[in-house]
Amino acid sequence: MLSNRRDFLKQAALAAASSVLAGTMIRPAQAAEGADGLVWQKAPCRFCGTGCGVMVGVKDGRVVAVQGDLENPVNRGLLCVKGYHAGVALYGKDRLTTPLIRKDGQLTPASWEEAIEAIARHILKDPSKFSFYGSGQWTIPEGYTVMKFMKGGLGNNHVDPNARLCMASAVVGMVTTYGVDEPSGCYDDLDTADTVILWGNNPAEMHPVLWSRIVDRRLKGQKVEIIDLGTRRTRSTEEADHYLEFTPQGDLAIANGICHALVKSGELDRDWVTKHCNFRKGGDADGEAMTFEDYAKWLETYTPEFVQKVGGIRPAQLQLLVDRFADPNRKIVSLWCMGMNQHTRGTWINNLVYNVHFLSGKFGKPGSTAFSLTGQPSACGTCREVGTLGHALPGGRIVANEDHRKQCEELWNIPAGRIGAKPGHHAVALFDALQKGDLTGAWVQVTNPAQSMPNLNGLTSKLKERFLVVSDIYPTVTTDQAAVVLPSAMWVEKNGMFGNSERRTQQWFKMIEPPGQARDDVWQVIAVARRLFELGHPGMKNKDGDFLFTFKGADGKPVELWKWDVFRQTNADRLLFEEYRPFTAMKKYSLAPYDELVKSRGLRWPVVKTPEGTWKETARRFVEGEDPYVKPGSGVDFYWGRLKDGKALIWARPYEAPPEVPDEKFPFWLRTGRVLEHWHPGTMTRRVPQLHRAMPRAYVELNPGDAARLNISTGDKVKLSSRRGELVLPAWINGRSTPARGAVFVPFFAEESLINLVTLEAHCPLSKEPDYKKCAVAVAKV
Amino acid sequence: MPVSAYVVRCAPEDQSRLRAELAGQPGIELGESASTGFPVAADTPTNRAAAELGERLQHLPGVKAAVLVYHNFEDVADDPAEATVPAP
Repeated sequence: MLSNRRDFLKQAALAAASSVLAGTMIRPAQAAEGADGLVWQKAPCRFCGTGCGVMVGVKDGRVVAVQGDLENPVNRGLLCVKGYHAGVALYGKDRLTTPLIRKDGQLTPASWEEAIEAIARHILKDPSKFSFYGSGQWTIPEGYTVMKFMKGGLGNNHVDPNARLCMASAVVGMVTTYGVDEPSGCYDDLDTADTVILWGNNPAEMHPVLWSRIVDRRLKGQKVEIIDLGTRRTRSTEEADHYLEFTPQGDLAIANGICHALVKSGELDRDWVTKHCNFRKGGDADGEAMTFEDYAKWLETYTPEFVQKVGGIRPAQLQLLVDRFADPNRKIVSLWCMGMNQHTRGTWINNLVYNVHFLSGKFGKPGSTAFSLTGQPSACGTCREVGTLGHALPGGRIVANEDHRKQCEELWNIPAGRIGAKPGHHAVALFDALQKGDLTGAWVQVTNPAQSMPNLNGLTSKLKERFLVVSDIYPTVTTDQAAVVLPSAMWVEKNGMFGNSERRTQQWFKMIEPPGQARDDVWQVIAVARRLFELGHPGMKNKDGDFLFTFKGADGKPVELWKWDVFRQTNADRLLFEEYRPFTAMKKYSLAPYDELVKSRGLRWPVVKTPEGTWKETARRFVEGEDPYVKPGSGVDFYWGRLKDGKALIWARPYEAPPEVPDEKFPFWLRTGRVLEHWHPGTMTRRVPQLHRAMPRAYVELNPGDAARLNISTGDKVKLSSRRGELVLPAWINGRSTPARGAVFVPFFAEESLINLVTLEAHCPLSKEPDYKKCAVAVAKV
Repeated sequence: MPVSAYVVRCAPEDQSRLRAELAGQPGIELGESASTGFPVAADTPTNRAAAELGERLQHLPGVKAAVLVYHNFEDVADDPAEATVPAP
């Protein structure tokens, strides 16, 4: 790089940083050339569910720069270390660029026509035994295309995403509590909360930009208290005012303990509860009615002594939490993610944290909410809102409901009765069915189940014997088992749309060409659908006998999206999204029009048109004056409440021990999770040299006391073994986090250290989400 | 040779000391201070050096956070150091 250009770029860089500090730089939403000669465009970050806005700089057909998008209200110009390297992640040396078909045991290059033919022919053998495993990193149009193909075309409900492994408990928690998915609150609540409580959550590493939003307030001298309720000390603990270490699964007792204390002392917000809640008992999704008095009596088990016995926190620590919720003037945000969701009673603990907020009236007000953080960039926008789950349909509909099926059949213009009534397999059941041969094939997109599923030997060891199709960007342990590998376009190599944790739908345009023969996942599915249409599969026709994916262009003629040259010239996202959008009105998700999302840095739904003709987003759902669907005079209206009375449910859900606990043979708890530098199984981030160097390998963290007792030092090889498998890892003592005594932590990003050989597939019976945070292992120095 | 920019967040009373420590270091330029911190632009010989600078900033006494806000890597393909990173 010429030195004068370098100097120029340094000035541009300094200006960008100064603007972030001052909050002044303007970048337009549309592509625009900057003074540095790069063409800059907006996009949401490729990685987590925060949904930070990125400005991507392109030069000569290549992404060469990124900076935080100051105009995006999510992050206001900041990005984390992964976001900054999202551009570099495009250019790993081993990008998949050619379709591959396994022949004589080897994956060999093939043409797209051969690959499409192979997939279509397999599906035709028995469409009912095919399945689709997708992702919270699918774009909205990608997930929608698969739903239409599988449920609206093949009449097959075996579609489930990897979001089952991260957000299902949050989903079922919300649906059982207030009748509909997605959070009520928004990120703005972090800007006004007095106390932020982390429930088994490490946002300093997992949602760092949101974390910086809280920490920045403290730097500016604002009083924001952080209470870290966790099972290990993390980077989040370093900033916390209080760290309360609890016993695994003890969160159930702690939440009930807070409720018991509030009810016993009378320090609950009785008016709020009476106006907005009913009480329910039982362990399932339906339960039975309960009076407040019965609930109060039921809570009597959860004395401070009982909470200490099963939950691990002392009475004084429980009282600290109670005092916060009892303070009528204190605004509290509870944040959680995998610690509560990857839990064999994940639905219950979600219900219980809502209970705490409802009893104290700390809900539906600025700075007071219970907020489930999403892990993936579009687990909300795609998996949950489009309904890419075995039991679901787009727009909050479910397959088991005949009216819902009819509504979707009408919108899709398909014959009545095509959509099946029986829910498809959830993720663990889907892979179990593949393992046993009950399903003969699966198409996997944007995820790596041979690394990320629990109990890998039990659930994924037979994938090579099935017809496995994998669409991905890099080789993985899953592509290693595939019959067909399809090279995919990534992030800004295609048009896209994501929906983040706070219901913000964001859009971006393609900025560069994908490498080699890589193509969009949307095109891949439509191409297979077209081949099935040509081969006469009736499901690929709509009611008029036309191809299922028929869209008319401006000239009134069908757009031949299955032809790659046509697809490249067409904004298929806009066509698909505008077809999908009417579904969203049914459950009052009400997404904004595509063209409005193009102009904006995303909009939080429900988005409605004002009398003046503009589009207005909703910061907080169910709140009068903010949510357009709230009945005037109601204050807070849970209009999807399960009892159809505008109220939410407070559930009596008990403490229950985990299914596998440490014993003499396996005396340690194993927790798995992520690290700041790596995204999920590391497919992208391990190909970014800076991130790989910062965190080159997996490790096992032990408590220093346990390490000393076992004579283990940092760097020593340690064998972890469970009832399911074993793994050897280097030890790290006093490293990134400190597990509690009797517990170890292992990150899951390294494909050469598959910790999921050791984990178990036990899951919440309501959400079907596996528990990656609690199983029993033996620890031995090798 | 990548060009990066950071926002260094620190208390006002720590700014003079931190600025003095960083000023004059090769490849570094400091921007005007604000109440919550100051901007730093860095021109480093490799991406690795850029990452190491970020770590160094983060660990300076008094620094609450050193956040990377701009990253231009338009010549990273020419950096021979990048070619030696082993595949996962």
